[in-house]
Amino acid sequence: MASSGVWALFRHVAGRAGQIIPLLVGVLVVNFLIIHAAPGDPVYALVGNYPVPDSYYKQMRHDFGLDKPLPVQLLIYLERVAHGDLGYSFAQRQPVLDVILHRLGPTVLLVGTAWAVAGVVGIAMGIASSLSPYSVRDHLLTGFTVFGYSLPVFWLGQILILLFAIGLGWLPAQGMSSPREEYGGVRHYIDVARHLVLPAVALSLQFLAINARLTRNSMLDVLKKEFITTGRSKGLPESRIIVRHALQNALLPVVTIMGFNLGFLFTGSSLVETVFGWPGIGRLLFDSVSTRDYPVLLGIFFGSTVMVFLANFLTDTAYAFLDPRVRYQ
Amino acid sequence: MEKNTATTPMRRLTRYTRRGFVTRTLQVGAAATVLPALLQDRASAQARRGGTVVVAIDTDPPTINPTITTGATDQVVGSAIYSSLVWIDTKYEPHPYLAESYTVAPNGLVYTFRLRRSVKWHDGHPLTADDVKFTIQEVLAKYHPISKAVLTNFVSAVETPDPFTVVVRLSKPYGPFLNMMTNFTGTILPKHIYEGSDIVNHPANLRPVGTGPFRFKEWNRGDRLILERNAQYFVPNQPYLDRVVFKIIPDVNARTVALRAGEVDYIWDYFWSKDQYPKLSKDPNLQFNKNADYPNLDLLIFNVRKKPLSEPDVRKAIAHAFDRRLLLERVWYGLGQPGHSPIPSAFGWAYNKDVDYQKMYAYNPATASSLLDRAGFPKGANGVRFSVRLIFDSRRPDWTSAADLIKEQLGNVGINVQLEGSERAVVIDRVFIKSDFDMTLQTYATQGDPAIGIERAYICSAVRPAPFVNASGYCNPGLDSLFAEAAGMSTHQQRAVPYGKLQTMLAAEIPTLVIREAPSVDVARKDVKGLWQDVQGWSFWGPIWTTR
Repeated sequence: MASSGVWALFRHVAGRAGQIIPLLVGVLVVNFLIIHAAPGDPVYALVGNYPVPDSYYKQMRHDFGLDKPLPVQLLIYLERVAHGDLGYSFAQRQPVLDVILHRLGPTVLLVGTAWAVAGVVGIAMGIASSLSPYSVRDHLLTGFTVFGYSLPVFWLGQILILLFAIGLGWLPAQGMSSPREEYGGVRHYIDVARHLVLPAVALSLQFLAINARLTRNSMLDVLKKEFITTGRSKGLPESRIIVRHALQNALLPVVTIMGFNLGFLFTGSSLVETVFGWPGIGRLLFDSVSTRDYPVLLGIFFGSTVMVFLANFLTDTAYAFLDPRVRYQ
Repeated sequence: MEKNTATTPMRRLTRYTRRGFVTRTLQVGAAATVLPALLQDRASAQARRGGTVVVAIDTDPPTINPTITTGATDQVVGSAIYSSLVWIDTKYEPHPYLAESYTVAPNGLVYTFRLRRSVKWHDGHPLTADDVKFTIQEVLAKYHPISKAVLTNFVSAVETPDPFTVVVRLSKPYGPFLNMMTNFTGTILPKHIYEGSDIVNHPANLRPVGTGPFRFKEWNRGDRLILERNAQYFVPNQPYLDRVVFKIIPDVNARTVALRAGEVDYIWDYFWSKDQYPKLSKDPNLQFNKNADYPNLDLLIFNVRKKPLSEPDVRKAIAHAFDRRLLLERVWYGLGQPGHSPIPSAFGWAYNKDVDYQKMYAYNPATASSLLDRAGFPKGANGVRFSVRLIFDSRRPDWTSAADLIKEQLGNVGINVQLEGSERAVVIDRVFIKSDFDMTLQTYATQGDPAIGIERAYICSAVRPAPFVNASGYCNPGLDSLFAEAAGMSTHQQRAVPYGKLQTMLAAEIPTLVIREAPSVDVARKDVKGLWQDVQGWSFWGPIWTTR
């Protein structure tokens, strides 16, 4: 039985891995064509407000590989990607992989923190709401979640800055670390943590509201089930009933949504990174659109496709741990 | 802090005669030994050593080599690292910088620069005349968007009779030649690093080695660029600061927020939106300079290739139909002045006082309507005479507000304006490459001289698919001759004559309407001192210090 379960899991993983290759090729081809169809020239996007000499323009286009026919450019690009080369950034004059990896850390930190905050706080709020439905506490928490879900993240970020950075002076307004000081060791981490608070709150609030609402409703459903009544009848402690029995069942849809929302968190991070000057991938995406930095844009789409795929894969795998009824056939 | 306006200084230069020119040359030579002291004494009386100034920019510069680009971030970062032969003060007077002195021959054809002997590159190599010759001939003349045309057409030879003397010979006089030898268009590069290499893709473009007050230290992409004090800087006791940090903040509002929060100390005009001015001007911690750079011109460019804008009466009607003074007050909070002429009034020596758009094309909807009727565009049953598309960069909030007001006022005389705000790359493509527009709002930098920044908007050879040239498609060979004549003269007095004539010519046809003479308005925290000593305030970092 155990070996058949392992074999089933292996087949599941192999099958999913096989799906990603055509998916990635499709994403790259479609995005390549869309990006090149957009108006705007990468050379002109980079130079200032004076016309560049023709010889300089031609050299830049040759350096960027843009003087070749589009199908040839596409084939060259796909061949390079197959060898692990994501190309060279027009704007940054560096390999795309280096550019993206440099920015990935700050985004993972921001998105990871926001996702964790949205998960932990959202689930806690959902549980608190479900334990006293339609009470004052429930109404307050529900009102907070509706409010949090409705706020545009871009606007929320600006308000947080005005209130906490400019008004109260408690927290920094911009960036990932202090521009004036060069902290080392623990002070550096504290400095980064202080800079992380406002952008993480801005990014997490909407997803926190979703998680809280979903947890509340899911818990209310589960708490009506017969096995919960049985547990109470048997005299089990309420905390054990809530955490061990009710929550484990109620979390299934919440986990699904959290995995699903990870992709949205990454896309939402571009707005937050722009408002807060956070040097992440989202900002890089925004800047690369303005500068028509095709290789970086394609590299980001490639990377985000892989990450979304992985997030869904991990979500599926998490299901198997949470629900013993779920096994791979 | 308000600085002096730029109107009176230019009049000094109009009194040039041949004798005056020679006298001037000798004065410059004599002043050369005094000026380095002046350079330092202007700030050093109370200047404090140490500290960091944080400057907000919008993105990582694609390169830190100002000789191959006019990009704003490239230039402002590069100006702290590199130096040029001369610098220009706020009275538009040139002064020696890397040059210890310079002389100009009476015929305006020979410029002789004697270099300081103590200047070293940041890697320790000495600066010599070979660096200057190499930069002018192999770099600026081949790659710089502005300098290439000038150096190619006017410079016949660059000689280095000794290691510290550079003689530049011109084939014909070029009035603004010294303007070209400043940090924006005449930055000097190290020959020992760039010679024989691919200049455009050289690694030193991202890790520059200059002679300026600050040396490159570190670049954390997407976050900040750090420069540290150059202890070998050739101006004694400078720079005062220990570091300059260029903080990358892409959102325009976020930059002013950071300034108010004290996380950023200085924002150059280009990097903040003037709709923030009412709020920022009330902040007691901030100071402004409303003449921090050469004036720019905000233009409404007509595509004269297309009907109905091919008709001069239609263009004149449009000029009468909207109130540029109201635009100045509503959109730009009174910063600058309504456009008077193709050449800004700030260039007192070149401006023709008989040309004044505010009088010639005063706001008068009735006159606009009668001109349109006369041109054969009566109102239809729906009150509309014709429709035009107005394209502008939607990332500029002032353009969006200006476009709304223009639409409203032109609508009152029966012109239906379709607003098309797009991102910069799309605007460049549609306006300058494809000519797919009717009207567009653009800002052209004058760069201190009509031959450098203004001519390109009007001459026939600039009607080509390239950004920021003659987008209107207007071509008048007589006008071209006047521009060429003015550029090829030595003195402002001589040049004023053809410039006066061409302004009259352009005012009669207005292929492009100057809607505002736009000053460069910098903002900084009050604890930053020593700013704005160069006419391009963002480019002179040695004298800056901080009380923080």
